[in-house]
Amino acid sequence: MLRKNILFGVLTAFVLCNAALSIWLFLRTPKIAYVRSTVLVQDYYGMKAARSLYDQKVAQWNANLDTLQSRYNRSVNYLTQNKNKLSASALQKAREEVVSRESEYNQYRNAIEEMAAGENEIITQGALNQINSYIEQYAEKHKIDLIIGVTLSGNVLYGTDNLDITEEVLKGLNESYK
Amino acid sequence: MKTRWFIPALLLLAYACNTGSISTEKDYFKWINDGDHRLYVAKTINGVKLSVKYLPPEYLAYKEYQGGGVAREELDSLIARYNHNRTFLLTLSLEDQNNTLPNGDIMYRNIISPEEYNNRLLELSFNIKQYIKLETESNSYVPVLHTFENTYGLSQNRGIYLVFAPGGKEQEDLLTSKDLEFVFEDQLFMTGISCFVFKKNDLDNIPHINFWEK
Repeated sequence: MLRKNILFGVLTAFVLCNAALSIWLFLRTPKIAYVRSTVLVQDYYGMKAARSLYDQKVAQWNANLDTLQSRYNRSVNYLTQNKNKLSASALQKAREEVVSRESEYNQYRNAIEEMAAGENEIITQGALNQINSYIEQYAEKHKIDLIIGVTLSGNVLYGTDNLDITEEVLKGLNESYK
Repeated sequence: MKTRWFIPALLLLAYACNTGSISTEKDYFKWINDGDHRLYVAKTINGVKLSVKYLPPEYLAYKEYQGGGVAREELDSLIARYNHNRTFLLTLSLEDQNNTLPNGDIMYRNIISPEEYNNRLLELSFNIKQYIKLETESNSYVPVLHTFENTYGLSQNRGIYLVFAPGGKEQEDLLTSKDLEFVFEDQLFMTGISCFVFKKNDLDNIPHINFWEK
């Protein structure tokens, strides 16, 4: 009877130790997941809105550029058509007008090229910051230790679908946008 | 038998809790700032906390009355005037209140030169309407009035008061729209485009003030 009790005790202790060890191992194993970065960036509402805002700005700049170009064209046409009719001083004035319009056009074109690059970076970076902040909050909430962003040119060659949290993250991200 | 009066009483109580009046200023502010009532919406992006609060017409009138800017008998007409507008307070603050910036002021975040600081200050003070709009189902409005709070280094946060007050048919649209979407297209703190949605139902169910006396 005593032997039976001892055996039972040992077995119980073994099972408990085993369970504790399993739990401990489970808890200490880092939780890892990955997201397909391209999908997140492409399908996030905030990024789409950012692109649309950028496109609106570019369209406005291009409209201004078109106005400057038509002013330049008008001055060139005027000079071409009236070259033989104008007095020397009027001809000089018309030529100066062409040079001035051309310079105006070129200056604005250079300025918007520079601005476009800067604005694109500012607007896009804002949306990327939103994605990063959401992923951080998501990882904290779900107790994930590491989230890898997979890109086509990245270093991750394989991951099972179980680790792919792209759709879940995208859904939450888009819900948090509005 | 008992349930016959119990249910209407419960409904009445629930209604009173929703649209009733609050007897102290403290309770009123607490009510407005309670996220569950959806007059206050906040987001944290890249270490910057953005919050938008709807300011009810009665609250605005109360503040003016407390400041001595309006007499008691003028309050009704003032509230009626404010009822035609929608006013919001956008607050910008840092998630980490123990940061190392001068005075912990968000204005210095990612600033590397006085020119950049001045530019940010100018944009927030005078050009903020370029970055903010209020959208209904059919229209988009820019603020007609905006005031950037100067805190003189006494606060880490910055607030911007924004008033949307279109006229004619657009006014009706603004006041009757089911959803109002406050959009902040931030290009100053790199938090991207943020939307804050307010429901007409929530804006129409704010308790009345009954603590007018100073």
